[in-house]
Amino acid sequence: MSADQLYRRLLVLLPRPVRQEAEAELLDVFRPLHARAVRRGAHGLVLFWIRVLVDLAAAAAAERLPSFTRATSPHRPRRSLSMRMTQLLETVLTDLRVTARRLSNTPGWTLLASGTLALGVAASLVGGVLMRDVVLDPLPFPEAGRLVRLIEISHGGRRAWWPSWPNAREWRDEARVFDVVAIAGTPRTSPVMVGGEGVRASVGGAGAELFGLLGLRPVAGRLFVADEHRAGGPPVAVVSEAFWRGALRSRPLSGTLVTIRDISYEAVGVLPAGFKFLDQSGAWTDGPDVWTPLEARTAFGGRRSHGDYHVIARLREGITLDHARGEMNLLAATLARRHGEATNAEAVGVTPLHDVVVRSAREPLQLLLYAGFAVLLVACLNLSAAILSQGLTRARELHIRGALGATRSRLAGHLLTGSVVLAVPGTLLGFLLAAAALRAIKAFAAGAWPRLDEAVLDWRATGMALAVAAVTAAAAALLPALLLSASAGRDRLRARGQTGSGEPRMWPVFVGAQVALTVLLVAASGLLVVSFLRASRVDLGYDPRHVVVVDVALPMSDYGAPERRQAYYRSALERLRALPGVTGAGLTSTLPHEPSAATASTQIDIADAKSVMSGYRLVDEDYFATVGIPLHAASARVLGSGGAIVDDRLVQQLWDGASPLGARIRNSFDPKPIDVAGVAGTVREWNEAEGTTTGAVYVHYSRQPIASMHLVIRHQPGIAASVAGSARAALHALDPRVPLRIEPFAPRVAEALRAQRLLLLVASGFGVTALLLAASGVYTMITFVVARRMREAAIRLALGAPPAELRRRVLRQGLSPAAAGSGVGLVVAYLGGPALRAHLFQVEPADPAVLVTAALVILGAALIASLPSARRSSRVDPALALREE
Amino acid sequence: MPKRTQSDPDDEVRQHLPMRPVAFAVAAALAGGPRPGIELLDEVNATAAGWTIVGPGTLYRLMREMRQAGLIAREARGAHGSDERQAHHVLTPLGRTVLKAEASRLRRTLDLASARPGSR
Repeated sequence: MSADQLYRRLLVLLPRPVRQEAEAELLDVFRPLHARAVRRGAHGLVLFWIRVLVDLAAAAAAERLPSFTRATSPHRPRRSLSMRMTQLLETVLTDLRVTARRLSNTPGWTLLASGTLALGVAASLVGGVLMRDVVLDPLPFPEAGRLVRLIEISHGGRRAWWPSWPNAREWRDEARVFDVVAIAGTPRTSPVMVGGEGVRASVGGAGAELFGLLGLRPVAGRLFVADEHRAGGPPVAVVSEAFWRGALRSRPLSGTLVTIRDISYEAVGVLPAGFKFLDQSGAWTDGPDVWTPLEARTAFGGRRSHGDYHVIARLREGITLDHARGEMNLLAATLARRHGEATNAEAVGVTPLHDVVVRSAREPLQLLLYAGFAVLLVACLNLSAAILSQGLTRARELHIRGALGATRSRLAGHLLTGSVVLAVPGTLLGFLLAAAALRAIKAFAAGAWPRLDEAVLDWRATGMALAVAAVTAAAAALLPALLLSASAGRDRLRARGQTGSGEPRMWPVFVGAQVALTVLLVAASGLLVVSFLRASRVDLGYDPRHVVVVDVALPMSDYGAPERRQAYYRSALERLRALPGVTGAGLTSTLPHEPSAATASTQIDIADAKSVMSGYRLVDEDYFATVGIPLHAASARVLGSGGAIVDDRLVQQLWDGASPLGARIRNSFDPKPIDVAGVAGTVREWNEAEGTTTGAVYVHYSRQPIASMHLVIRHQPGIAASVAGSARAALHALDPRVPLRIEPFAPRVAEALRAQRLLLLVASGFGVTALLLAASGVYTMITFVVARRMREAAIRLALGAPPAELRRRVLRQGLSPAAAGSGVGLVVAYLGGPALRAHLFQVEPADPAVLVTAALVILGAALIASLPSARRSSRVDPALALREE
Repeated sequence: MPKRTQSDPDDEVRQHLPMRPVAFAVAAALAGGPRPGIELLDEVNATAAGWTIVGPGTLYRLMREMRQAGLIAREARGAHGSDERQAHHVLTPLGRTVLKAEASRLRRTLDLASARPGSR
């Protein structure tokens, strides 16, 4: 496009009649001006187009808003809006050129100021991007704002359940408030045979509406068609992109089979990378590796009291959430009356899918956002003080400008424009820091929060960074600009170094404000540190250290018979116990760090007995000793005789603490009643409050030897890797076709704390950054004040003042505003502490030890920052200092 | 800029005073004969001591106001042997009169300022 054509396009800013009349005349002037700009080179061309745009914008504004062009006074020559704007542009460009030249002559100060700004930009950018991408951005599905998740609600809203198939089907068929209802089987880990090799994979069942509701398009092949969703339909599967690249080695789909429970499914399509869905526990995570049509092969149970499905629906246009909830509750009541059987669906929970996904991340990320802005504010105050100090060194220059006729607004504008120049290096550096921080967060804590992998620094983040940097730089310069221009406007030219010349009274306020904010951030970090330490030391009821876990998934093609499975486990345990360095090995259906998994209704086997939800665990006799769960009454041998072991929590719930030995209980997972023959300690999750842990029933695995179990191996310290290797070799020798996953147990347990750990690390990073900024703020202030008062110090020394007194004066100047700021910060931390309560474990938000320690840390930093200047002030040579003045 | 009205000639001139500096600069540039827009732009920017800078759009609006006020007129392209690619502008008789009146006013103001003690 030529320059002429571009200019013609830009004329669309003008009203049409004006454009038609003026085009020729405007081009007459534009063309020679453009030719001149081309001869001046790229720099000239850029400036030329900027001027053209401003000129056109001003002219267009004047044409469309004629009120702005009225004369303010008939006797004063008036400048039109367009002229004022073009003059302003020239002024700004001049100031930018002058400032850029001055900053390049003072690289040290420029680096410090840019670095300060960059830290603030990076902190706020990290907080902002995490909040935006993890919490605020809509889910990547069509009409995501109308997607909801449905669950069953019972016990007056106190219990929630995954929907059962009969309820889910009837909601789909009879609810009028949704235009689509999709059902999915909760994903399960299963052995999947691919080309004779067994792999562990998560397998999910997709209802007919699911992929369409989520707007999924395959990246290869196709998705299911209607005929494949009918009962007995052809066995086909759709796989995830990761599974296709990994287990299937990106082979062509045609003829590719995956075998699950003796049925060979033809892989017909590949889902896009990054597709996420609800997992078995309801967390938002990577979708299943393999999807099969839900209706084709599922033996749907008719029980309405046992649910194992996810139900996602889309609200009809114009239907509100409250309306949908009311309608679904009515439907639930209708269904309960119609069928008259036990159901968990006394009511239906309707929750926006977005809220379900981001629930766990919303609060911690809000805290991080606030912390990021607090760091930005500290950086802004720090920068403000730095600009002020630099401005004071230019006091003479500013006085001269004022004497030559520069108005106060002109001087202030000059200083403001100059500081905005810092926004360029500040943005670049801040962007790089933020990118590095985000990369580290995502690498260190993938999965800690949902959608963390979606947090990216895109063009919106770039714009955000630039805007934040520009506004912060301008805000930082505002007060110094006003102060300096006011002092320059006075008709005096003071000699340099005179006492009290140009030291604003606001300076201690800058420092005090920085310190107050820093106390807040450091106190919050301290509370999170204490909380994390206490959480990681909580007694979980078992000992995961020096334990290796082997996840086993027996292929049903070879292990369809329960006796075969039992034989495998027996042989496996024998081989593992014989390995060098192994001190014990056991078996369990559910690892102890997931006490809420595989729960079912348990009650004493009498009429009208109270039932509670408890875990149902298939274990062997050596399990308890291997993972360190204490046994209180009887030994684990009772399991082999058909008895059950219950834990302390269940004893409290069903027997109010009385001995349960000899009692008979029933559990929904077990077809027969079980005699209680022993009591074990309760295992718990780290953040469970007393009295809220789920209890457990342990029975011998031979009652129901399922295909997916965990072998646990206790070993001597320091040999986890070699034990894992030996275990793999031993089990491979037993049956190479059984897919295994082998890893140490302790890291898995630590995963439960990863969200806490991440919050702690990021908040601490902000706290340390703020501490460094605040300390540098104190250092800058004290250094400058001491330098300005060198003459006074020299006179005092010459008159016999002890050097120690001078040092004390300087330290007092540095510590007084820091102490005042600490006091204010402590009060705010005390009052605002409850905001952190949800993230703290066994520590109060107003813990005095933590708050006082935070304040002392900052005062210590202020003291260290003041020491060099204090020493310098007491060592000045009076004769030299006075001669220089 | 007030539009032309039928009234006393002195009144007609007075209603255009005082002229805005840029309008004065344009009129002064045209006093020597027809000029194209680009030359007027250069004159205005050169004579306005750097504190008022106009671009094509700004200049167009100013010229249109002066045409509507009857102070200048636009010639057809190619008239007076001028460059056919550029339209030229001329000062009207009214415009010339107003220019002279503004110049006198400015001269009187300068003389008054020079006569005051301490102003030299």
